[in-house]
Amino acid sequence: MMTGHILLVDDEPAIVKALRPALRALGHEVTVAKDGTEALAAAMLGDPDVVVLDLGLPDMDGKQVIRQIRESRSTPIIVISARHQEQEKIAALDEGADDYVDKPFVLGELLARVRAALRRKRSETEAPLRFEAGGLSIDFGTREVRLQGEVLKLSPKEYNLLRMLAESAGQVVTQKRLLAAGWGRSEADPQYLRVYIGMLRQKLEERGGAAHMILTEPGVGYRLELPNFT
Amino acid sequence: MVWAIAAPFCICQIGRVKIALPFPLTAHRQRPALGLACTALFSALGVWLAPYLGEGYAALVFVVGVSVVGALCGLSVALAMALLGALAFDFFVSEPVFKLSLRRVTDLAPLVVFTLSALISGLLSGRLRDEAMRANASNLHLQNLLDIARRLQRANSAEQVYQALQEGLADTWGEGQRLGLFRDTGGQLVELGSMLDDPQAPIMAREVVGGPAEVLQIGDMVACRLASGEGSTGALVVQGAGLDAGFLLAKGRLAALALERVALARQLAEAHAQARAEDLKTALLSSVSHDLRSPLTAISTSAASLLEFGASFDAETSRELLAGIVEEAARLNDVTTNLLQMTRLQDGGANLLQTPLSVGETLLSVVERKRRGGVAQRLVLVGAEQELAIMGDRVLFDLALTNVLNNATLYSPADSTITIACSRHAQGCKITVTDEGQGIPAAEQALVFDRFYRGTNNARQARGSGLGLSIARGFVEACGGRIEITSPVAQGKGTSLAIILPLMVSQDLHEGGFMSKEGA
Repeated sequence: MMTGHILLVDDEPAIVKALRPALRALGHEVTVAKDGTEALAAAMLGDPDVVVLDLGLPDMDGKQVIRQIRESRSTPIIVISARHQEQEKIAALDEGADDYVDKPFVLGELLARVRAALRRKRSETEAPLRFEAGGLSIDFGTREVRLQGEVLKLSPKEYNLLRMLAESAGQVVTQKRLLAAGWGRSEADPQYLRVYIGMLRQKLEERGGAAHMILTEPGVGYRLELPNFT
Repeated sequence: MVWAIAAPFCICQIGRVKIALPFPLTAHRQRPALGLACTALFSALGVWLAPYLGEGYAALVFVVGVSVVGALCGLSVALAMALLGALAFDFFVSEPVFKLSLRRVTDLAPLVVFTLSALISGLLSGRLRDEAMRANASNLHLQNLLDIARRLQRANSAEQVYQALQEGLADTWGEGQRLGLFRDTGGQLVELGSMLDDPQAPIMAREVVGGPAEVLQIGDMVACRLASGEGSTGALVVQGAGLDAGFLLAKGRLAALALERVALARQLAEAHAQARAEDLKTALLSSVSHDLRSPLTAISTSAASLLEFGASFDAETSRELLAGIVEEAARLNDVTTNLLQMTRLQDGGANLLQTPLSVGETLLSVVERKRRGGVAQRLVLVGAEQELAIMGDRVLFDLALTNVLNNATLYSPADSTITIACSRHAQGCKITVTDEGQGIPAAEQALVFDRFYRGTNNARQARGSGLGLSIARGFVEACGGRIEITSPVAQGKGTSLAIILPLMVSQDLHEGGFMSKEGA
């Protein structure tokens, strides 16, 4: 079981009260901040492993908090957003947040996101040469991709997209970041992305991959979901 | 005898526009007397001058006389006077004097000349008079149309258009006219107002709306089409004597324009109302998404935590999670109650049930409920023992007071005092809720009653939905009262909210008592 130090930023005491016991029960250390100022101080001084951030803060814009954390830290950030903040949420992800959950969320969903974030945090610190999970293996040095042991032939663009998704496996990757990875320009037409993701899905499924390895997050981006990964 | 012939002749010339005469009809009856006097005067002059001027020149005096009569009294009187003058000339002037002699051909000459001059002057003056009358009549029509146009301009509904037309027609043709106004709504004629009991009226209306003719006159009824930019919009039917179809058509056009304007104004008002409803819906949705999702998330998370990790929690943690669930459920309940009651107040509270309510009892129950629920401030209730009763909706009155009290507890520090007082007031009863919080900035005071407005100055978490005070004001206004805010109260601190409600009057007691009994 992966545990870590979690910074929980929410101005709703009720939600903090409800979440804290579960996180603690899983062995996480929990720090609570009720506004942006407290959050920034805790993020810089406490050096948490994961930040769970509610976008609706009383004193400052959630995006601003993300920007300021990103200036000096690569700490994974999970955003909590209400459904009417769709644009805010995408902007927050583009600003550098790693994932999101919509309010009202289910506890299990948030805990899964936290696990994925902790995994990324650990894999980053280990600077891996290869990715291996759920039957998918990618060698970052030789650019060889195998699914269930069989080599998968991918075009350079497809490889870049898959690597990007795998590096954030279990987490959402925004269209902008994928476009930047595949085409070098984040403002390219998302239509290309849909076409390449479609081809990638087909190749994965042909080689016996799960039907929905690459999940679509409408309007936001894509998420690689691997069995037995988290 | 002459008179009897003359009189119908005069009326005939005037025709249908007799009502437009600038002078009373009786004036004409005196004209033959004037003609007679005139003829007598000139005849006397001619007879007196005859010995000096000779027969020929004296005849000219008679001609002048007949011409004057023609100019003054019209053709018929002039002709009669020409005959009389010719006889007088023959008798008094022409040889043999004092004897009627028509033996020579020349004796007929004066009669012919006199008749000719009577004809010419009479016809000319008659025509002039007719012209003048016509001008006068159309002047009156114009004046009348202007009057109607003015009246129609003030009309704000189809009923008022009908009213204005009725008044306008009464001004023109007197009270005897009966008017019917019909609107064409998709091939169906709808009566906007009618005093016509003739079954022919709707048939005629349908005929002018659908048929080729714009105006239709049958008997004493005239129907004309109401035509505007969009084509035929309806029909105007008038029953009465002496109607002018052309004039009616002009009025019909004015009425059509007025009806079109009324319809457009209504559409505009509907569009505005719809836009307001849309705004409210948007605000409501974003408020709902926050105010319902937050407690829901807390409840769901707490419950899931207990379910999954309950075994590993200590008693204190489990109790806190359960307490959180109860608290958040209550909050959800508050929000949904406020949202529901808000919709009841939407139309200004017109459909609310008004029952007699005791102010003191309601305050006591609200304050006690608040105390039971746990509150960080001291609540002091003053004057609840007084017999003060108002008429209002029971649920909304309770909710309004609860909201005002909640607002005070939400925006004032723990261990401060909140005073709730009620007293008799010049305009009814006055309920005040005074706290010791930091007060509301002057710029925000007007906003606090707006829907979804949340104060910016609270040190603790603002957990209100932004609906509470809006509902309080909605209720107070529906009761005919008012709500006021005073801040700061003393030493730059505190807010006092005053609700002034009209007291129940005794006749309400009957009605209200009956209604509450029925409700119970």
